[in-house]
Parts: sequence; C-alpha cells; structure tokens
Amino acid sequence: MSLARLRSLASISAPIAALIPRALRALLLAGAVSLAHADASPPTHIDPLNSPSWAQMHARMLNGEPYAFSDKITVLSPDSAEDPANVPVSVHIAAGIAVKRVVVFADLNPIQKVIELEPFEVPASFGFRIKLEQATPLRAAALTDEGIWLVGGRWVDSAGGGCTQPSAGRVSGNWHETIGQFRALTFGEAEHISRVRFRIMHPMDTGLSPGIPAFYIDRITVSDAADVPLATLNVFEPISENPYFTLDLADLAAERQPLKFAVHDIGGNEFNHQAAAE
Amino acid sequence: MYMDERMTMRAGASCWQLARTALFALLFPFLVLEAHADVPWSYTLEATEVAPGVYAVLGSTEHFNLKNGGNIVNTGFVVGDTGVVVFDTGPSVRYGEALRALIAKTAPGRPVELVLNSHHHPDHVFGNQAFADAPIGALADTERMFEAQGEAFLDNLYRLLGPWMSGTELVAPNSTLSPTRFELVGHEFELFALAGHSEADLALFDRTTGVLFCGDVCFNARAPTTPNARIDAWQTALKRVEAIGARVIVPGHGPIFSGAAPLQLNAAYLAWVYGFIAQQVASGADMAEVMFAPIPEHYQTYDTLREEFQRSVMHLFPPEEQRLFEQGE
Repeated sequence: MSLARLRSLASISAPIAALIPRALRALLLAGAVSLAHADASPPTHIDPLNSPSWAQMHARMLNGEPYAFSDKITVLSPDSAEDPANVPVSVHIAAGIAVKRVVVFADLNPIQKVIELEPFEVPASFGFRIKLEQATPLRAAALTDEGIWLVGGRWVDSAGGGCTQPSAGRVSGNWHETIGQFRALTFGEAEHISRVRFRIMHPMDTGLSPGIPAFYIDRITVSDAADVPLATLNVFEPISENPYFTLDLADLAAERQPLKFAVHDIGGNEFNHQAAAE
Repeated sequence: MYMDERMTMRAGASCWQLARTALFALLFPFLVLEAHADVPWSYTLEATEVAPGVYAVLGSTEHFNLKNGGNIVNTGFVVGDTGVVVFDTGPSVRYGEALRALIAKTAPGRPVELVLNSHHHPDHVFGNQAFADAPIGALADTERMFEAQGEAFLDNLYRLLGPWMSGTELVAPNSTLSPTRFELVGHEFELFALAGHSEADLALFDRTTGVLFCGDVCFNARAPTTPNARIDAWQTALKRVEAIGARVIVPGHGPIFSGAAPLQLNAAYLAWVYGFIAQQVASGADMAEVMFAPIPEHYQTYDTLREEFQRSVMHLFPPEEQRLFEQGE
C-alpha cells in the first residue's frame, strides 16, 4: 500500500511536485522546533520506554505530581512472558533512598495498577507475580520524602490472555476449599528475618472473565509482634492467582517476632497469620 | 509488526504529537514500514550433504523472530534409490513447501516415502501441511501432545511470526511409530523412542551412513529449551544418544557435530540449571531475581542463553517453590 503511494507520489505532475519542497521545509522546521523543545527539558522526563500512554499513567497513577525517570528504581522481569498468568516481577529501590510509597503499574494492561507498597521501615524491595494481557511497559514509581516520584521500568512482551482467563480455582471449582490458606518462609542470619516469602491461596479473579465477578485480595498488612506496622500492600486485580510475595525487611530481631500478616479481600474476608524465624 | 505498532501508538500522548505523526506517515509512508522492508517473507533453505545421500537443512540458533520467520530449527532428509525420508518439517507451511522444493531439486522425481516428526514442538512440525499426501509418523505421546498443545502453539507462532505463518494449519501426524529397525529407500534405519526434552522424542539413525537425526534431545551451540522437560529422562536420553556412536549427529538446533562433547555440555547445563534453580528457591530468592543471576562462563558458548535461561526459570522455579512451600504441611 505504502509503496504504491510512494510511486504515485513520484509520478505526480511537476507543478504539484514544486510545492513539496515548501511543505518539506515547513515540516523540517516544525521538527527542529520540537527537537529544540525536547532538548530544553531535562532528559529524565523523556519516557525511556516510549509508552503511548505515559501521560495518562502520570495523571492517574502519580496524580500528575512531579516525577523523574531514574535508574535508582529497578524493575526485574523477563523480556517475554512465558506464562502470561504468572509473570514474575521484582522491584528494588537503591540504598539510601527513603520512600513513602511505591506504585507498580503496567501501562497497556486492561487493569493498569498492580500493587502499591507503603513501607514503614522495610528497605522497600519486594517481589510478586502478575497477569499480563499483552506487551506493555511495566513500571515502579517510588515517592520520595522530597515529594518526587522516581520511575523505573521495562517492556515485557506477552502472548496475552493473562487477565481475561478464568482462574484455575474457578475452572476446577475448588477455590473455596483452599481460600485464605497461608504459608510464610523466613530467611536471614541466625534468628533475624531479613526477607519473608509468603503465599496466600486466593482465586484473584479480575472480573474480566465472562460470568466471574471480581474477587481479589486488596490489602495485606505486615506488622511485628507488638503490632507496629512494617508495610502495607494494596493489592489489585492483576496480581496472580494463589499469589506469592517476597518482602525484604530491615533485619527483624527475635524479640520483634512473630511477624503478623492481616490479609483482606474485596469480599470482606479477613485472614490473620503469623510467622517467625524457623 | 510490533515496531510499527509501537511507532504509531507512541503518538497517543498528545493531540499535537498524534497530528504530527499522522502528517509524517502521510508524507513518508515508506519510513513507517522501513523496519521490515528488508524481510523477504520467504525461506532460503540449503541442503548440506553430511553423508552420501543424507542432507541436513540447518536453521539459525536464534529465538523466533520476524526476520528469521522461525527458521531456527534443523530439518533433514535421506535420499535413497527409490525415494526420500524426511525428518521434521519446520515452523510453517511456507517452510514445508520450501523444504519440499529443496528435496525435489536435490532428488528430482523421487517420491517422499515417509515423514517423521521428532516431537510436538511447533518449530519442528508446522510444515506438515506441505507433506499431507505422505505418511507422517510420530511416537504416540507426540500425537497426544500435538492434540493437546497444537492450537496454542499455532496461535503463538502467528503472533510471533505474522505473515510468515499465513495459510499454516495444523496437520497432525497420521501414523504411530514405535522403536524399530526398518529398511526404506535402500537405507537401513533405526528409530529410537527417547524422552526428556518433551514427553516423547524420536531419533532417526541411518545405519547405512552412520548419521543420527536426534531432534531436540541434542542442542549444539544453542541453549536447550525446557518447556516440557523432565531432567532425569533427558539425561538418560543423552546417554543413550552417546552410546549409539553415530558418525555424525544432526541436532535439533545448531551445527552438526561428531563426538560426545556437545552431548556432555547439554547434560552439564541441564544439571546446572535444575540444581541452581532449586538452590535459589531454597535460599529465598525471588523468581524475577533468579532470571538475572549470573550464568557460569562454561555455558557462555550457547546462543540465546539468557533468554532460554529465563524461560527455564519460568518452567522450573514454580514447581520447586510449591514443593518447598508445601513441605511439612
């Protein structure tokens, strides 16, 4: 189609062809102006992922607040999602950056917001798995004490079907037998805990699969033995079924254990669990 | 296709950008398509004679992409006095047709007597359509897996390869094979029923010339893939392949070889991948972190290494993790 168009462009009559250089000149001028404009703004504001919807993401996920793209926020995830219903993601915040909140979102997913972490004293590094419907930028934005969002991310390719497939628990019909079951494994030196990994059985239905309403965990609070909160996770539909989470802690000593987990879903169910170093 | 989409979609950020891009595309449509202007959309296949009358058709060691059209696989054929035996048919009907044309050019007038499918993975069997008039043989478990996963594989290859796939439909193997010796087209053959790379892996040994077509049990200079792998069975299969003592081995991917070194590197890599992932799970690593872990120098000779390692983490980490989380419950 475009080759044909090119050929017709080449064969147009001379008077019209004479006009083209003028149009070209105007176009080049417009291009130069826009380039100069781009050069004037700090490079940290140019989306390194060239997302078609960064502007919307900025407005919706970051409330239009000041931001900078930064390599201090690392998002680990494979280039290509081998299993669109289970795409592993790990977010790391560079040492020495105090953050109030971390928001993770996938620009081109049907449901963009994935998870929010509100850390109280954790190093704010965490991991989880998500459902992706198509290739998309995947980003983590961390709100610093100075009120600036630092944004990191990468493209992840996906064959799709992650968000609109029914959960395995719905297909087999046995999700209600295991819902809320919980297991945590702790890792660290001696009796200290520097990392906890936990799994909660839950269908995590997105509401996008026909006839199956949304039903997912929406909040997980992690606190110490004296109920001092360590982190709150606000969880959204794209988190995978029967989700696993990894959360790094600031070396929790034995006297502050066991860790307490309060899990809440949008159906109003609450599950409470504990874990101590084994 | 993807680049084009991204180039156009990028413009969505603002009306001005959209208008500018539309104007640009209108005036310079050839630039918008430039990304794939050099893709021929047809396969150039070459037959390498590895022994008298025995040919390997070698693909690249890359992953599927829009440039290679899925020609990332090795196929082959044996030309005898009375006809031809074909081992694997490639990723698409176009590849199958190109392979059939290559056979006709190499062995004019000789009929295709038998086609073999080494296993059910799409890069090896989606050219079957071009050989639908011949008997297409496979192991019983390969037929079962083709039935179970063929549709999903086909969807995914259309997504990955676009126009290369056009017209490709599923043509299942139509003849169930078991390990046996037989004579055909004047060659003495032996079929080996192996497993481990997938549920069933068929290898064809041409006893007349000493050439072994070993399918994806063997990878050479290209990282092994593990979507349906079972490590113990695969290690056993590699030992059996070594014991055959073939003069020349045509692997499923990568250059042909003699000797056991590539087989031993396959075995070592698989043992390392499984052991490393299990150890990472036990020490509390997060799945995405493991995907970026360093890979030993020893395996850096493999093409597509990081990509295949990441896929292997996806295949092997979750079951290992589930086992750990359900231990002692």
